[in-house]
Amino acid sequence: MTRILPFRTRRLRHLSMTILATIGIVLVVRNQRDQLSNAAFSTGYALLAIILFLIAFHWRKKLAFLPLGNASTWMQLHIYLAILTAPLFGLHIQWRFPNGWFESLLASLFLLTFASGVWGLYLTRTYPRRLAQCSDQYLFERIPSIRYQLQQATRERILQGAERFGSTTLADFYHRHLAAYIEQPRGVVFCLLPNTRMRRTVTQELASLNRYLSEQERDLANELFRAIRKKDELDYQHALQWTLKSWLVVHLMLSYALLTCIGWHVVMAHAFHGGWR
Amino acid sequence: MTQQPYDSSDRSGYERPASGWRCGDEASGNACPLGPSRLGVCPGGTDCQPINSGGRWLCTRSAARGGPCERGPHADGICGRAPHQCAPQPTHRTRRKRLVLAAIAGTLGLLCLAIQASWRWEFHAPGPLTDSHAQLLSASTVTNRCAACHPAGNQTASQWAASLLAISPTIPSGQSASANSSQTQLCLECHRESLSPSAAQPHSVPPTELTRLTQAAARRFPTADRGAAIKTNHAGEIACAVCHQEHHGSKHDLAFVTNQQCSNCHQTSFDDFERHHPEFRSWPRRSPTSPIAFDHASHLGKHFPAAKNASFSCADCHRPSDASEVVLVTSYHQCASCHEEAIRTGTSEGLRLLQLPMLDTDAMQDIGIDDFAWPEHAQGSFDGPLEPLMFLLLLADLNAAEVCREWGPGADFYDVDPDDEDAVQSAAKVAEAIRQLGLELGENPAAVLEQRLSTAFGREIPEPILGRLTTGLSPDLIRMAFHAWFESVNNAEESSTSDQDVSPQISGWRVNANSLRFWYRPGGHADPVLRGWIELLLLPVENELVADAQRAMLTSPLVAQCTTCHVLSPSDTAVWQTPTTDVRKSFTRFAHRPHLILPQLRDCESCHQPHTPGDVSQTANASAATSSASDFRPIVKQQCAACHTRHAAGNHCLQCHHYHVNRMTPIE
Repeated sequence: MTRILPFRTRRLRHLSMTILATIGIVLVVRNQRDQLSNAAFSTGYALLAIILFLIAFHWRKKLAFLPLGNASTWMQLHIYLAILTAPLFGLHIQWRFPNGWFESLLASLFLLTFASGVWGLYLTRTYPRRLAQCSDQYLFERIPSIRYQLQQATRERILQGAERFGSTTLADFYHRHLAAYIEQPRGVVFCLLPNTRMRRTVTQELASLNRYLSEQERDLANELFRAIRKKDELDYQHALQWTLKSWLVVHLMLSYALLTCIGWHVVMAHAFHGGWR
Repeated sequence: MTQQPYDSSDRSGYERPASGWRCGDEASGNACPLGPSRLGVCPGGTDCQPINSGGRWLCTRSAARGGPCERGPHADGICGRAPHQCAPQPTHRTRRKRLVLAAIAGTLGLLCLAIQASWRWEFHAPGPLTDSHAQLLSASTVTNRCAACHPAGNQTASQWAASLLAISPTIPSGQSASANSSQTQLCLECHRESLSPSAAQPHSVPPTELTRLTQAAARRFPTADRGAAIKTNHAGEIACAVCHQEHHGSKHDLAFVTNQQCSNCHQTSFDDFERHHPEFRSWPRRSPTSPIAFDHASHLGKHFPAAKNASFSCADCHRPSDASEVVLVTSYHQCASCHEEAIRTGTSEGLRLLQLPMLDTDAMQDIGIDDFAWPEHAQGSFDGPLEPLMFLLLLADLNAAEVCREWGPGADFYDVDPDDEDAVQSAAKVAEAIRQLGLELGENPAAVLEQRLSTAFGREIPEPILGRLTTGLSPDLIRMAFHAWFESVNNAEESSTSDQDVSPQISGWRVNANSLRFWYRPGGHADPVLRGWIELLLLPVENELVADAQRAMLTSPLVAQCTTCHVLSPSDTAVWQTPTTDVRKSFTRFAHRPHLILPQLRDCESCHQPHTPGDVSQTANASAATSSASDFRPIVKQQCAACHTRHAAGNHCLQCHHYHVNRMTPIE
């Protein structure tokens, strides 16, 4: 039986290998420059090869039926090879941000792709833990349906309460302050930076209404508190899961745009490089 | 933590995240269990599809839509309700796919636009050029700036792609010829004037010379393990872009290379100046561009104290220029006070164009040569030298050339044996040729000199040399002299410029009736005729007899008056003066001005110490060994290494060395 090393040990080992590879690349490139060789081509093709491998992870997931190794190994390779591209890219551009339009675009795309990858790594390491801390787990695809059911159930209880108690205090409050919160999904800003400000606001307003309610209405108000809490949980989980999915979209868009520009960059570099051609 | 409770009434419980579409009613909890088609079309699967059962049409509406309706289908089996079709929504997967494809399409679109647009070159330029190149290419006449340096600038995008695949691109016939050139060739087209013909060779040195230097270095450093590793073309040439990296901004130093890059090719590594650079063995050398051989040591130790009773000060002749780093040398006037008189005296013998020899007419009559027309007082025993210039002119005479070749330069009629019939015959031929030469010179001396010298040298004589050589040469004077010598034999009427009438200090062409000589008296330093004569002797020729004659004549006392100080080498255009600005690049350079800022270096002798009398033999040996040897003691490396460390004055190779040597003029 293969013994699985602890995560911390594995990370240390992989990081050490990445640092050693970086040192090796720096020495090779330095030696090439000392020999007046055009190190831009060797670093460029090394970068291209690594980027192709990194993008191949996307296709590996699509071709799950092929025996190409497990996704966990691919993920580890993806992370540490991506880290390796940073010094390689620095060596390629000689630690100087290019000042031509096309090359600036290319460098910006690389940096944005790298940054989105780092962001994604942070998200995939922290968000699942935050999701696991929630009381209930919801599938992302089912959240709209559950939200709809919650909205329908809340509306029905409000109508029943108004009929039974002969008071429209809660119904008015629902229409004025709560309906929009319960029925509408939250915006992109909330998805990116989820917070409880809105929930606290409506909760405080509902609490301030408490002294005007009868005993029976207070029971109904408690049900509204639970609905608000559930809606907030739904929004929170939707935000986290949406961010987890969306960063990948951004990462993929940038990666493919980068790959397209790299292809053109290779053509241009070969056509316009100095020398005897 | 609790799992989401399973709701058995939820018919859409089976999620299809890999599907492209989801039911449009899913958000309202009424998702159709069939779901949309692959193309995102609602099949209306939950609608009623009436069935005929026992002659009655029954409603089959799905429970998801409220189950069978009360009214049921019409009698003809058509559902009485309007069909329900949702608006299928793309799943997250489909949205992601669309966005990725949009990103690729957008990037490709931008690139296609960038290839075709008028601003394509600005878009693709990897960065600004250095100031000098940018200025050249910003002219309004330059339409395609990229093509000025890149052959690909005249090609199409498909040709660029073809070159990537190593397919030889076809250049349309209408395109510029530069499309067929390499980038390095385009560099050299512009820099042709400022670089040597071997510009692309390592150090711009011709391959044979480089091989010689490499072998010399290998002998000096036998343990060296380095060798050339730079990528070159078939001719061993290095592309300009190997070192000169453009598009790095307007202030980028195009010529910068590191010490490690320099030592990459060298036989031994020079990573550090103090520890690795070889000791200077003979630095400073005499400037290869200076034609003046000035002996500092003898002037300091002997001439100045003895003749001038004055101190020898460097600043009398050398002054730093405000405009450049070059230290200027003062003119001849500084030397004239001591040397002018010696030059005038040393050249007083002059340059002889015609000299009638003494002929033994009796001996000539004995062999049948009667009535040979020759001045009477030039008759007697054979005597008289065959003057150098006259010898060269007689080489062009068909009758006398053979005799002259046999006699050789420096021949004298004194050596003619009157009893030897052949020798007398030869002397008579030469004498006749001399008379013929005199007659021709009396008609048009410049044309005769040009024609005869060109014939003798087997090449064209440069116009400036002929012009200088014939300065003041009058055909009338020659004609009158000949008339006097050959027709008024015993009453030779001296011309107005005969030696007797003219002050010996005045320069010019003269006739000496007593010695039957037509000659030139030089006028001291920089005399044009003497200069022309020496330049004639420096002309490269293939005829060995003439070349021997030139070498012999260059050692004559007359010429030595000039060549003592002027170091001249065979050339069509002799260099007499030190250029005011040294525009040629040698491998090693030294900038005086930054060093003169330091108080301890302001005294020239802190670095330049002339050889003392005890060093004289050493100096002589060194001078004999190489014309570039200096008359100063060599500077030791430690003198420079004291300041030139990495963290002080710097120890970069390019501080003291040029890469491209023999640069003639800066690019216009």
